Amino acid sequence: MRASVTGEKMNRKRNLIIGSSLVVAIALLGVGQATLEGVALSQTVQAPIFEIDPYWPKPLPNGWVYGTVIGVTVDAQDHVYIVHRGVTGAEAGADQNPPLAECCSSAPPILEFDAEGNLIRAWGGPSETDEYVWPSSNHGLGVDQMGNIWIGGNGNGDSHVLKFTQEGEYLETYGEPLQGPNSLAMNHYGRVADIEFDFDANEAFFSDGYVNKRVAVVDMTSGDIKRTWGAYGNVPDDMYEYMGDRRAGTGWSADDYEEQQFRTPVHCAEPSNDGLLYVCDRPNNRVQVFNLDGTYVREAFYEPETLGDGSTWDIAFSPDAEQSFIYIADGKNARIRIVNRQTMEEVSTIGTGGRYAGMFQAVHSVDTDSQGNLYATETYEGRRLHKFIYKGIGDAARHQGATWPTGN
Amino acid sequence: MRQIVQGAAATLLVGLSAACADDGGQVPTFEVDAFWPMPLEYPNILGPVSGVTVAPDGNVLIVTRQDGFNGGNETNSVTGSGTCCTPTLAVLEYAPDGSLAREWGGADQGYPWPDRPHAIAVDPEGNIWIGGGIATVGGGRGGGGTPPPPPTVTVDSHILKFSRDGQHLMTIGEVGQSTESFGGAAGFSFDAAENEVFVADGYASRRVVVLDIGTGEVKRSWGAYGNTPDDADLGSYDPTAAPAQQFRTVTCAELSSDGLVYVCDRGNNRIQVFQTDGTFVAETVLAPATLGSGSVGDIAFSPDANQRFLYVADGMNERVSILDRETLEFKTSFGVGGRYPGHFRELGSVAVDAEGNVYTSENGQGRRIQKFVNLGMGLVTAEHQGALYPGASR
Repeated sequence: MRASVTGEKMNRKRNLIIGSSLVVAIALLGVGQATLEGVALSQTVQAPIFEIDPYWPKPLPNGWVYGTVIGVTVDAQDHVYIVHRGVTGAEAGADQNPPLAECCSSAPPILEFDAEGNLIRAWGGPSETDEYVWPSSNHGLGVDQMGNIWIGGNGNGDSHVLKFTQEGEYLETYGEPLQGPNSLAMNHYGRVADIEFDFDANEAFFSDGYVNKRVAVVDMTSGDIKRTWGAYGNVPDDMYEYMGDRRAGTGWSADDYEEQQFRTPVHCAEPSNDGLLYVCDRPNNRVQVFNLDGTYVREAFYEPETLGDGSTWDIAFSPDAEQSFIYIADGKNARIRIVNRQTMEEVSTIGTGGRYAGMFQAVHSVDTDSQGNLYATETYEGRRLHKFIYKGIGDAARHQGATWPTGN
Repeated sequence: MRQIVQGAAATLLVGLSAACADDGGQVPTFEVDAFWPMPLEYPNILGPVSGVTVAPDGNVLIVTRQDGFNGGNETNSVTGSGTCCTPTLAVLEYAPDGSLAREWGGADQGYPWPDRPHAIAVDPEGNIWIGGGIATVGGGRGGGGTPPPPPTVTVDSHILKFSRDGQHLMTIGEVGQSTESFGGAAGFSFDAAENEVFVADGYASRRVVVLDIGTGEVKRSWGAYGNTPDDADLGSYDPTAAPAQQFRTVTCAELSSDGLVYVCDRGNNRIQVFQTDGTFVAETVLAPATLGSGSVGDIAFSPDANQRFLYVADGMNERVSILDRETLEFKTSFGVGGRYPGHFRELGSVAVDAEGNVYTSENGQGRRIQKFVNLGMGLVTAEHQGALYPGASR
C-alpha cells in the first residue's frame, strides 16, 4: 500500500474536488447557497487540539542557555529529557576568558525536567578520564525502563551509542567509536540519530543514521545487533544510486520514485504498541512502516517536493490505547503534522515559522507524555523545548498555527 | 552591580532629586506578554529586528533586517525548497492590540535602502526616520588551501525619511560614502520646538549630530564629554583604563522632556548626558566589565511627566536595566539570556508607550519584538529579576 499525502498544493487540489462534489450533492438536495457558504467557511476537522504553554519549562538557572536542541524523550513519570549541543562564542559570553559579559553560559547537554517544568538534573559531556567517547555532535536520546539514558551522535566518529544512568553515571558504549560509514557493519553504527525501545522484546531501535542507511535492532542487554534493514526491507546498500535527481529546478518530488534505499539521515525509528515500526526517511520526505521483523508494510509521503533537510524529521504517537494519531515534526516547513495513524493522512498541523511561543525555527524532535501533551525541540536557531498542552479531540483548524490560547 | 557616577554635574543632579516624592524606593514592575504581537500569517517571519519605536498614537513600529536567514535555510518558501518561510518587508507597524497595521520598505523599492538598517523613529510631523549601520557582505570559508575571499564592509552613510505609510520623502547625507556624511546613524530623537533631530552617529562615526528636521542640514555636533569628535582608533575597550575621551559606538541620543540628551556610548558601557547645545552634564557606566559590543545599546524614558526612569537595553548581558533618571542610579533589571518569552538574544532596542509598557527588539538570532506590560509601581528586591513570567516573584 502506498499513500501520497498532503502538501499545500495537493491539499488545495483535494479541497477543490471536495468542493465540486459538494456543489453536486447540494444541488441534488436543493440546499441553498447560505448552507454551502457555511460548509466552505467551517474548515475544521476532528483532530487533537493543542495550546502552547509559553511559560514551560521554567527559566534555567545559572545564566544557562540552550544550544540546538536535537533530541527529546519522555519517561514513564512524564519527566522530559532533552539533549542539546550547547553554545560557544559570543552567545556564551560568560564562558569566555575573560568573560565578555554576565550572560550567558552554555547549559550541560542533558537536561531533565519534571512535568511542572522544573529542572531536575543537568549533566553530560566528554569524560574527564577518557572512560567513554562523548559524541562529537550530540544527536538524539532515549530513556529505557530502568531510567537509563541512551545517547546517539551525528558527528565525525560518532559510530556508537552511549548509555548513562538517570543521574549521568556512565554505563556502557554500544558499537565501536570512531568508525566510518558501513551499513552492513555488525560492530558499529553510522551516526545514530535516535533511539527507541520495545521493552517487552528487550530490543532497542537505532535510527542509523546520518551516514548509514538502515534501521538497527539491538539487544538491550548485550548491545549486539540482532537485525537490520533498509528501505522496503531491503538489504542496506551504501552504493545505491538514487533514481530521482533531488535538486532545485529539476521538479523532483519524492513520491515520483520508489527509492529502494533510505536517503541519509534515517532520522527516526519508532515502534507503535501494535507492533509496527515507523521510520523517518527524512530527505525522501516519507515515513515507511514495517513489522518489527523488518517486513515492509506501507509508506506515506509528506510535502514530497521538499528539498534540503526534507520533511519527516521525527515521530511521536498519541498516548491513547490505539495510538490514533502520529505527530510528525517537519523542521523544513515549520510545522508538526497531525496524521491519522490508520490512514496515514494528515488531518491538521500545529506551528508556524517564527521565534515566538508555538512558532518554529527548525522543529526537530517530538514526544508525548501520558496526558497527551506534546513536546517539541528546535535545532539551528530555534533552540527551545516547547510544550503543547493537549486540549482533547475536537473541531480543529486545518492548520492550528501558533496554537495560542483563544482570546489572544 | 558596580556603578560609577562621575562628574560634579551628576552630584548636582542627585541634589535635585530630593524634590521628588518619596515612594519608598518603588520602581515600575512588569510582566512579559508572550502573546503580543499577533502571529504573522504562515509562512511569513520576521528578520533580525534592529529598531523599535512607539508612535504618538500608540502604534508600535519596528525595522527589520532582511539578510542573514541562515544561508537560506529559513526562507524555503523563497528558495523553493519548502513551504516556510518568507521574510516580511522591512518596516512593520503594529496597532496596540498587536495586529499588523502596515508593512512596507526594504531594498529595491526605488530608494537607497541601507545595507544594515538600524533605528526607526517618528518625528513631530509623523514622518519615519530610518538609519543604518555597518554591514559585512560576502566573504566565505575558502577551502582546498585557498584563502577565503575578503568580505566587503560597507557603512550606511545616509538617513532615510518616509511618510507614515512608507512614501519616500528624503535622503539625508550621501549614499555609499565614508564617514564624511554619516557613519551608521543608529538612533534619532526630536526637539519639536527647535525643529531639530538628534542623531546618534553612530556605528562608524563618534558623535552626536544635530540636524534641522526639515532640511536635514547639520547644525552642530559633538563627541564624548562635548569634545570635538575624533575618529582615531581607540583600541579595544579596557575596563581598567582611564575613561575614553571619545565615544566608541554611539547607538542612541534621546532627548528628555527637560531638555537633556542621553547618549548611548555602547562600546564604552556608558551613558553620557548633555545639554542640547552639547555641554556635558553627567555620565554613568553600566556593567563596566562588559566586553564585546558593550552594555548600553538603547535608552527609553518612562512616560510620566518627569520621566523618572530610564530603561537601558543591554544586549551583552541580555537585560533591560532600570535607572533613576536624575541620579542615574541603577535600580533593578529584567530579562535574561535565552529564546523564551522574557528572555533576550541580542537585545538591541527599547521603547515605551504612554501606559508605561516597555517594548524590546532583538537583533541577530533573537528576531522578536516583545511587550512587557506595566503592572504599576512596586518594591523590587531582586537586583536582576530575570524572565518576568506572569506571577514571577520579584
